[in-house]
Amino acid sequence: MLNQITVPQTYTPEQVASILQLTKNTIYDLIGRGEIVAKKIGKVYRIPVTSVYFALTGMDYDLYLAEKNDYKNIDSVEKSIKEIRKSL
Amino acid sequence: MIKVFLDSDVVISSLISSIGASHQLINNDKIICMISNISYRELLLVVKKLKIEVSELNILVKKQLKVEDLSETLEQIKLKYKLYVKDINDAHIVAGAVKSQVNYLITYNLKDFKINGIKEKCNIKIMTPGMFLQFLRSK
Repeated sequence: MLNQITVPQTYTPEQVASILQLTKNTIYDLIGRGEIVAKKIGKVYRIPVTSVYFALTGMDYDLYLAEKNDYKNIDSVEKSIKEIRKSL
Repeated sequence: MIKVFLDSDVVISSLISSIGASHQLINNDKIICMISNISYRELLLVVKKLKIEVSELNILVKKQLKVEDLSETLEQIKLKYKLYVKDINDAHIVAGAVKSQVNYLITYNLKDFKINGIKEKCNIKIMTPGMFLQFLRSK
C-alpha cells in the first residue's frame, strides 16, 4: 500500500541506477540534462527521493502526496460504505 | 473530455479533503465524473453516518457529477454482475460504470473488484484517483 512505503530522503546515483534499471552513466547524463534533479555536495551527487518517486510509486510526487492524503481516512470511509451497502 | 465512473469512496474522500487526489480528480475540467442513482442513495446515508453535511454532497453532485439512472433492481444487478466483484454488495458500482459507458472506474477499493474480468468483458479499467490523474498526464 502507498501509505505504508517508507523510503530514505536521498539516493546516490548508483542507487538510482539500480532502482530505475539504468546504467550509472545514464543517470549522470540525466542529471546533466536536468531530467533528474540532484544536489552536488563537494564532488558527489545526492538525489532527493522526490526526483525518483515515479519509479517507486508509479506517480509523480504531488499525486503521491494527494493520494496519501485521501488514504488517511480511507479505512473509516470504506467501513461505512460496506455497512451502508449491506443495508441497501 | 474523458468520462469516468466514481465509486462512493472517491466521492466521500473528495468531501473530506480538498487537497486529496479525489478532490483534484472531481474538479478536473477534462474529466466528466459519473455516479448512479443507487450510488447517490448510498452516498446520502454514508455522509450522514460520517457526519458530513448533506448539503455539501448535494452541491458536489449538482455541480460536478452526472447521475446515471439504473432502472434494474439491486437484486437484478447483483445477479447480473456478481462475477465481477468479490463483495456482491459492490455490484451496483460495476453496473453503473457499464450503464454510463465509461472506460474507467475510479476507486480506492481495488481489492474487491475483479479487475481483469471487468477489463476483458466490459472494457473498463479500474484505477485509483492518483493513478488516473497520472495517466492523464501521460497522454
